[in-house]
Amino acid sequence: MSHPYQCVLHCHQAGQVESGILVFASGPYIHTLSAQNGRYLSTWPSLENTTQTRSTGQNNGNGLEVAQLKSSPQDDSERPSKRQKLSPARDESCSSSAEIVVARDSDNGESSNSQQPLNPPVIKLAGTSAGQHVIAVTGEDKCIRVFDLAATGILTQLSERQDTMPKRPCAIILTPDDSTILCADKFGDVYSLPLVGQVFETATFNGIDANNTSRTSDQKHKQKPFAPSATSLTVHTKGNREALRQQQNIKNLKAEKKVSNLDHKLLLGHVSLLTDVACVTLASPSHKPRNYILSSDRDEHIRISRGVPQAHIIEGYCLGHTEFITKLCVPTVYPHLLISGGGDDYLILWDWPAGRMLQQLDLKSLVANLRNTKLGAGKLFKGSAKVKDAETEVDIAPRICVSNIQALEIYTELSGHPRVEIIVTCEGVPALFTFTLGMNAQMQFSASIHTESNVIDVTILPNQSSVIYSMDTCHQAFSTDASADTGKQGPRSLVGSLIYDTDSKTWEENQALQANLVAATRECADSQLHVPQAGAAKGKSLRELLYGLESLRKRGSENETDV
Amino acid sequence: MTAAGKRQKREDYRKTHKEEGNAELPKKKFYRQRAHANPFSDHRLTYPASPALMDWSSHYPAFVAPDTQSVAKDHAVVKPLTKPVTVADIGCGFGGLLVALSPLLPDELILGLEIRTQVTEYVEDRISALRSQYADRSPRLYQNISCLRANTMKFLPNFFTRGQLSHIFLCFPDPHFKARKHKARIVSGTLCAEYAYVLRPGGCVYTITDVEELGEWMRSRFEAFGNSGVGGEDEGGETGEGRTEGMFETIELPEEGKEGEWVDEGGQKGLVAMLVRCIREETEEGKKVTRNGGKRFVSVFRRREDPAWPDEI
Ligand SMILES: C[S@@+](CC[C@H](N)C(=O)[O-])C[C@H]1O[C@@H](n2cnc3c(N)ncnc32)[C@H](O)[C@@H]1O
Repeated sequence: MSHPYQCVLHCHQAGQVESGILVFASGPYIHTLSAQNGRYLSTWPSLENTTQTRSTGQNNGNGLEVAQLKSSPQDDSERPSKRQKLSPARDESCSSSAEIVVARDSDNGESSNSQQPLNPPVIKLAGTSAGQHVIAVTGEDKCIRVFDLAATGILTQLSERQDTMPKRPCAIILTPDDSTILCADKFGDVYSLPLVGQVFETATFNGIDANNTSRTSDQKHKQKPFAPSATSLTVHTKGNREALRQQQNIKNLKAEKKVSNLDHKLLLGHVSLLTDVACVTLASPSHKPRNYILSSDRDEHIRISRGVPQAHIIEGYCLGHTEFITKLCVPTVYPHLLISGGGDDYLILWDWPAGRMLQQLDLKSLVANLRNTKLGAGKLFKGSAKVKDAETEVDIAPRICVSNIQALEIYTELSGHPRVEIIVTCEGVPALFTFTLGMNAQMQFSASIHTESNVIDVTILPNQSSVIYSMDTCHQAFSTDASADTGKQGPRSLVGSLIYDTDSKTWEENQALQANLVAATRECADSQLHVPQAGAAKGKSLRELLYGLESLRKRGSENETDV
Repeated sequence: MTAAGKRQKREDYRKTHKEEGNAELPKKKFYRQRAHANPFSDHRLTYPASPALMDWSSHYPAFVAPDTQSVAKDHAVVKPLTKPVTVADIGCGFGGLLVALSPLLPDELILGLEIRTQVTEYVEDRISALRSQYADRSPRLYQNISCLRANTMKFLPNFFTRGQLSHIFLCFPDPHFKARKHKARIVSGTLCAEYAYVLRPGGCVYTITDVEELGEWMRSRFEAFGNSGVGGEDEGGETGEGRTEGMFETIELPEEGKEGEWVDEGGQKGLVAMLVRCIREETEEGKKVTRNGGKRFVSVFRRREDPAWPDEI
């Protein structure tokens, strides 16, 4: 069985007549497909790349040196599951994935060239608006990679910024001018990094013999011009020197290593885990367009800051959520409107420059209705659809956790003002919920579109009025932990596509794309099977990769104790 | 006595102390709690979803607007006050400063914010006892101070709107010496942004500490803020191309012991001098330093107007 696509992204290449390229992340792999016809294009890392770039981690001199710099002696080893302490055990297997006999004997410590470790799974994808670059984040090693995206779909890695981010990135976007990456992290900070900058070197691995560990390690070494603890001692202000003196006997100065990263700048910070960021330009008749940064956190805040270089100035907040926020969506045609969602039972529509809530849109009943009709009311609500006991109802009623909010502009010939279709998905729900946003800043529920499996990620194809979504074939619909019973059903698809019909104002399957997409997912899988499934997430780690947002919900534990 | 027995005794004491009109000042030993609360964890905090939903009426009953109906906001019912809170004592501890400020700033509503439950409870009981004691002699006294439990590092904007505050006190904050723990400090480049947000232009932040390095740290954070983005170079702040002025201006202060002369001069300068004397002498920690003959490092920063947008320059 193939690994689901945890991230899907559409890149439209400026100046190209074609519809652009679809980028799918499957575990550690990144596949590209044509958005025009759904055909398979390419995979990163490619077979050759994979065997050429990775060190086998024989602990000769250089290998050790690298390992030490990276703070974990096993960092460079051949066991990807042990590389980072965050990496969960991979011994649980996802239904039939156990059938894939992995020619990996890492447990006895042996390794051969065909068993190169792969990167940890990709957790975020972003693309420039010009469509020429793709940015991929892998979470466990906090690595940000920038790729050139050719019209042929071939991804060429331009830079790899591993260990430069102090904390795990949670959201990544580009500034409207495509020059700068904004990265929001688990510790609440937003950093800016140049998309292409002087600091990093182009990583070309071609021609390096995989067997020659020392050369590979050398190469890795060069890629990280900043040895963490070496420079942290040199960059210090008066105030910090004192603090440093106080900890001179603490040998491990890891926390200081961010000092050495000259290529990223701290723009703003919340004392909370950040969940999403947006960069918006507002035009005005009285002055030049102004940039803003919107940032959302686990503690129910949406902050409005000025754009770079004044990102330290807070202009306001949009307050009204009572649970963690996961997604922000600002429709391009109505840039002063914001739709936000997360752990609350509803979405909120905001006039964000005014910090004013305009509307709350219920999601809970939409999910509950769908569950009742698809699974049968009796299954969920013991005996009857309505349960008198309020407490029981709370227990079995679905918890809402919004995983995507996307906006698609619909232009009709008559009016100059576009309508916007808002597409919303929730973790563990096999559906796309659509809403219509009109010129009057009113949002209305339009449809629940039931899908074969739980929807994971969604991307918009604006010039085809279409959406492409990826689905979880490993778990049962409506569940984030029960494994799919593959015996019962036929094969399920990894992707789906819908097209908006402007006449009937309804969503239909995009048949032109669908057949090719399904065929292409097989090619994607084939291109992966040639190398071991070393990077494929399974069991708990797969669950965390696909459904990581619900875990942001607060448990209401009291961490204080008496003396 | 066993630990459980002691805890029971403390609980019983606190329960009986809450009886209406109790004018006896609470005893600190019954409100003891671990010295540090982790500002990153969730705790079980209550806070309004937004400042408009905060009901201040129980905090400042003497300032509830007469003849006004309760305003229903979302599902909360809020009784409006005649004026907003304008002074915040962040990490107020046992409330010594609040009590001292009450008569000094009689026209302002003053709020202490404290993360530790039992310390907050102590301050609440202390204020309620003081209000009872002075109910006849001076009924307005101590009506303008209150305290609530909050993690200010996360939830300041839930209580205060943009530019609402005139004075912010950051007195003897926990030092968090280790570099690894600096993120837990109540002053950081990124938190300066929130202090600037809730403070009106012209309003002041008062900082005091007995840890010299922390004093330097706080000063460099406020001085660098807006001058080099959110932080000093060691926090990787944005560099301030084309900008020379930060958002905060450091104010000249009277020497310790000489505050009186400045106070006599009156005006803004006199007010600041009076408040500086107050944080040196009236905070719980300040008193400890006096007893031990230690040093106090004070800085006061005045918030400037927001800088012009880049398109306005
Ligand atoms: C050393 S005491 C100083 C108390 C008082 N300001 C004084 O000067 O006597 C610091 C206080 O800040 C409180 N505190 C620390 N972090 C806090 C936070 N995030 N929000 C609110 N209070 C906090 C602590 O619980 C502690 O009571």
